[in-house]
Amino acid sequence: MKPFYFGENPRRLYGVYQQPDDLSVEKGVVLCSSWGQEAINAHRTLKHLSEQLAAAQFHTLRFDYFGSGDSYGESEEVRVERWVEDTVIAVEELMDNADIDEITLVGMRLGGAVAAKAIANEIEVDNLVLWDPVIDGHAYLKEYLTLAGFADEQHGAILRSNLIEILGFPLPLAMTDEIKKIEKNVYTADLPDTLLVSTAHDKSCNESFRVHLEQLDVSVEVAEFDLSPPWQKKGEFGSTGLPKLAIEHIVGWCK
Amino acid sequence: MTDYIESACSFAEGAVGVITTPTNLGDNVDSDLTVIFLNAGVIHHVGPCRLHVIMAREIAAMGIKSFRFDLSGIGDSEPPKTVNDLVATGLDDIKAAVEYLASRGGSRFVLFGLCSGANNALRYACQDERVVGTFAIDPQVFPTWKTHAMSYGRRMLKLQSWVKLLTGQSEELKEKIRSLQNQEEESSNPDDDITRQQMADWINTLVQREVEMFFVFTGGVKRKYNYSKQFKDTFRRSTSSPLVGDIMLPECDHTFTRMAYRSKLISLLLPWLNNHRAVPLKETA
Repeated sequence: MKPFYFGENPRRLYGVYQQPDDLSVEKGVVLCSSWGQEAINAHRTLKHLSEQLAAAQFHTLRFDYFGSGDSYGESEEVRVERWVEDTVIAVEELMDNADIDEITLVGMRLGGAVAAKAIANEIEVDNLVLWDPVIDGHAYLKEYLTLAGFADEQHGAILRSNLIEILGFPLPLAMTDEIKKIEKNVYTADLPDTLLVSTAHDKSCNESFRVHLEQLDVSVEVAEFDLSPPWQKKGEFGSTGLPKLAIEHIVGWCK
Repeated sequence: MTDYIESACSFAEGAVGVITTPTNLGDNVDSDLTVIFLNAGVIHHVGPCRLHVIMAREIAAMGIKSFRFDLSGIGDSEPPKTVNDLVATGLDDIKAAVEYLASRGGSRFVLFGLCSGANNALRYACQDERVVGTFAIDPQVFPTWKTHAMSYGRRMLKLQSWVKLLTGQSEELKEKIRSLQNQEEESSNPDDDITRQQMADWINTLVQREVEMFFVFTGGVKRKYNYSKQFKDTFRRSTSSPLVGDIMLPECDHTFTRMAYRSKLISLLLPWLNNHRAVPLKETA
């Protein structure tokens, strides 16, 4: 395991590279996390997933987007489009340093939309894992606000004119707008073979999302689990149990 | 450009941390003082809502280096190699971090901790003379007779409390019964074993060594800490020293969830920290 910073100053990103025992393998996985409290809650799960992927002989990189975690930038500077660029940089970093020719992206929640946008915009990816991806930005925001005890954007969460604060994280209005624009169409025909992992309690939208992807000729497998979603908080300090079955399934699928 | 450089490191066979080093401050950099952020519960080293990252950068702007890292088995660090008790493992991990920083030129350390991190800070400071200060938020608290009197007094004035008590719906009563029923079960939280005497001994030891301590008590522990002089009442003898400061922030929650709460905390930490600099930060016009 190697923690390091990559990218150009002042937009340096924090990442943790997990290497396989066999360094000659040419397969790599980049993990894209979610935003805010979800990312804090899911940290342990994504760490465990990257360890399991490395044990299954994948070069693995998990990283923090600009303005999140240990990466440079203030929390107020987060933007979906910046995170798409960060994902491209992360993929390039892994491919350059580990001599990889086959790459899988794993995107959890907002990270799913970020990964899909990165693929649509700029990078070639061989496989994609979408873990409870955001496919309706309005619904996602509403869910977050409800969890934070706010009826909607206009009630209670407003902090300053240019941002709102949800569960301890500032969300700039520019990013709010970006999130609202996320819908099924963000997931385009450019997507490679895709695994849709569902641990969310509400699984009602999985079928329509699968149909959407299949209509685009994207090969998709759906794996549903009745587990506690790793991005949801349990207890004051965000301790969540590991969704081992989901992790095992992802590792098996990537193989 | 930023006022800092951040670098990631791995040390002591699998522990992971991030050093934030100030830049562009010339003579105002205090090169041998390092603030170490300890894990708050199981939240990884960025801290609750990125608290440690925000603070590290604020501290760097005043010329002080900091280090945030994960104890064994938390965040990015590997699990402990041997199964030891949690307290001893935590102390070993903090020692490893201090040794690592000492090997890079640090000689004086301030430990910052919230909740279990606060207890770890005080515990560890007692065994290492290189620690010159501790900033402890919501360490183990000990209610006094006044705490109970205030808590019950307020409720006795409310009709609703009496109704709940008499109809068996009082959550507190239920909790008391549950705790009595589970008395024989061992607590898994080692901090529950900290006694009032132990805490007093820690504070006394540190006062004798002239270590400065600052304690913050939030609204998150209001059931056990509910008036501003409770800390002084609990540790009357130990806290008479000018080295010991404390404040109650009843408006803030335990993990400083709101940005305004974090700003409040930073406004307390920075001036307190300035006292630990070899040369106090020069005022700029």
